[in-house]
Amino acid sequence: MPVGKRFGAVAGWEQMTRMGRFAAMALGVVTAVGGFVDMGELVTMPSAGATYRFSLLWAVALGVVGAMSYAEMAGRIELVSQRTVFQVMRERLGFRLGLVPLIAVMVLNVLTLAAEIAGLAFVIQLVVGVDYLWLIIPVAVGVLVFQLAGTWKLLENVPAVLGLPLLVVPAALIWGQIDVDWGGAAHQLVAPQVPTNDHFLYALTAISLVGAIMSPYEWYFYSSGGREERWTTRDLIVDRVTAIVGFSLGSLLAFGLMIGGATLLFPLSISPGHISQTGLIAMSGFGQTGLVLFLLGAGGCVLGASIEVSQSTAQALAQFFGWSWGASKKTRDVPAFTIAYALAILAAVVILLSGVDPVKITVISMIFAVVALPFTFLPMMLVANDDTYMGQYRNGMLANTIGWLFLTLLTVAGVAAIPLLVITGAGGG
Amino acid sequence: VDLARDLIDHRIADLDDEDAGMVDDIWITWTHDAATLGPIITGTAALLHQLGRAGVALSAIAAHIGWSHANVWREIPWTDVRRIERPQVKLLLPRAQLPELPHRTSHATTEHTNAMLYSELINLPVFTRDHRRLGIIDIRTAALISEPPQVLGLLVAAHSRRRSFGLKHFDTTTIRLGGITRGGCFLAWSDIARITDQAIHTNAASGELTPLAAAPNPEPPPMPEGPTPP
Repeated sequence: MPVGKRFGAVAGWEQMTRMGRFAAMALGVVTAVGGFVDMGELVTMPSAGATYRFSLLWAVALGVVGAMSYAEMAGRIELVSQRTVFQVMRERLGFRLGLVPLIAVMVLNVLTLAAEIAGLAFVIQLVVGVDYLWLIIPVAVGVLVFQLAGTWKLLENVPAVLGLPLLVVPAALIWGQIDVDWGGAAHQLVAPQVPTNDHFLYALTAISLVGAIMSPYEWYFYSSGGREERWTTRDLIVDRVTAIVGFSLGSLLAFGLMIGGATLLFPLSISPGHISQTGLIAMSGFGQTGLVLFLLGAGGCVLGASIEVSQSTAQALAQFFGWSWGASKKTRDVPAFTIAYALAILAAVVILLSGVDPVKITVISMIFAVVALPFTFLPMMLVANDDTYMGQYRNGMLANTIGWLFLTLLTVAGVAAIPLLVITGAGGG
Repeated sequence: VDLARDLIDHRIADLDDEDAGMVDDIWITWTHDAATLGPIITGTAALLHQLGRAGVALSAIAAHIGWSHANVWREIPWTDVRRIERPQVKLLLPRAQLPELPHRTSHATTEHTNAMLYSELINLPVFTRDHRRLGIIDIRTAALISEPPQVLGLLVAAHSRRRSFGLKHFDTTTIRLGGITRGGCFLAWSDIARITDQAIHTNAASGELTPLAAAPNPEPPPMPEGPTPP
């Protein structure tokens, strides 16, 4: 789920008028909504709805609360301590132990990037009718060129705004010709009906849903945005509004995808194996227009995610090793950073061209995301509670309760994920 | 000021507040019963050096493919340090002058006598007069305002490695995290009898060491100056 740092207009916050500040927050929220979904959600949400109807809505809600909590914390740490997540990890874990999450995140990011590039190729395939494998290299080159040529503001705002048409999915459920059992959905959100069999697959699906929503790359990109835009404590309100309001509204997309899958695909026993089947939700609501909007939105979302993942891979490496970095800097001033994201894209292309099923890659990357998350969150929690660093901005009781609870949950889920992955044959039963 | 907490692995910023690397290591130099901090070390080579044989192999590969930076680190003298803040070291140098800093190849560390890298010193065992083996949690210095800052002593504990699970040792010094405060002590540098490549020996018995709570504890570096909150 790409969140990005949607604070495109907050530079020079103290000089802004009240209206200007409101506009900055509104842009942050709007772009957070548009950038909420990535390939992981486009694949896992409708699939979970089609398989378990509404009984995994709780996992989406759980993931959204966790994502809000950690996004707010990552932003707050950055703007108070002036350091990004990976700088914090290096400081608290030290170089050698820090290498463990760094390598885990690199592997995870490359897998995720492969899924995003494949997702973009799938979307274009639906438009032009060419097999997605032929589109992998052009898409990868496009993603690379966009980053080489773009500034930070361009990279964070354009794809997110392009992703906004994906709101057609929840809109189709609310205003379209689809009969949604809202009462049943609300009931299962609070009191889910756990299936009597295949508990392992159910648990693994829940873990992958949480992983899809709480993809680690988002925190790195999010906090790196703070460095790019030189946040200070004056930006705290924007951080909180974006994290809470933006994520809440953005979660409508995730809920919409799952409820749509549950409403349209579950009764037909269709398990969506392709992004086009997810498009049926929008098409059922608004016909051809819905499908066009869906494709546009899905394309914007996965383009944004491709950029965020590749950027966050290079940011993580650069911040950990102390190399110069920055999306707005000239390539010759940040050579290692540029080479890092170019290599990440190349690695993703190699994986895809080897013939591995992109949907399988997506599912596995979502599960590995949960395995990698505790490594990121522990140092964040330590710093967020450090009086000397955070002063009056240290975690309060609510942030600590949610933070430690999620850290515990994710640790347990991370330990359970690998055996579940093996037992269920990577979710294939 | 505790080096792992307040200096090592922190960002280095140039005169224009742009990234200029990380504090990857630091020299500790000593004469008789006093020690001071030597130049700050930055560069990927310093990190590879900490990986032992794996680092040597990676350095060789890097050299083979033409990545020369992987085998050379830069050393920043304290005269070029403008200010130490909690999250970063600020330099007096603009970006253009950074390449002019003294360089050293990673396999030339043995040239120094009476000097050791922080990353090597922190891993040495400490043997007390009564033959008790202690581990080093961190190295404590005077406030980082003098040139060069003086090393006050070592923070030591009986099981620093076993209890830390690889976390920076200071993270386990709080009781809240199940740490080692109760066994933690301060070993003044003046009480160190000798340092070899294998161990540090002190004339003090384990019972004579100062408890951490009673150890000298200068103010940590300040947070960066910035606008006040609204």
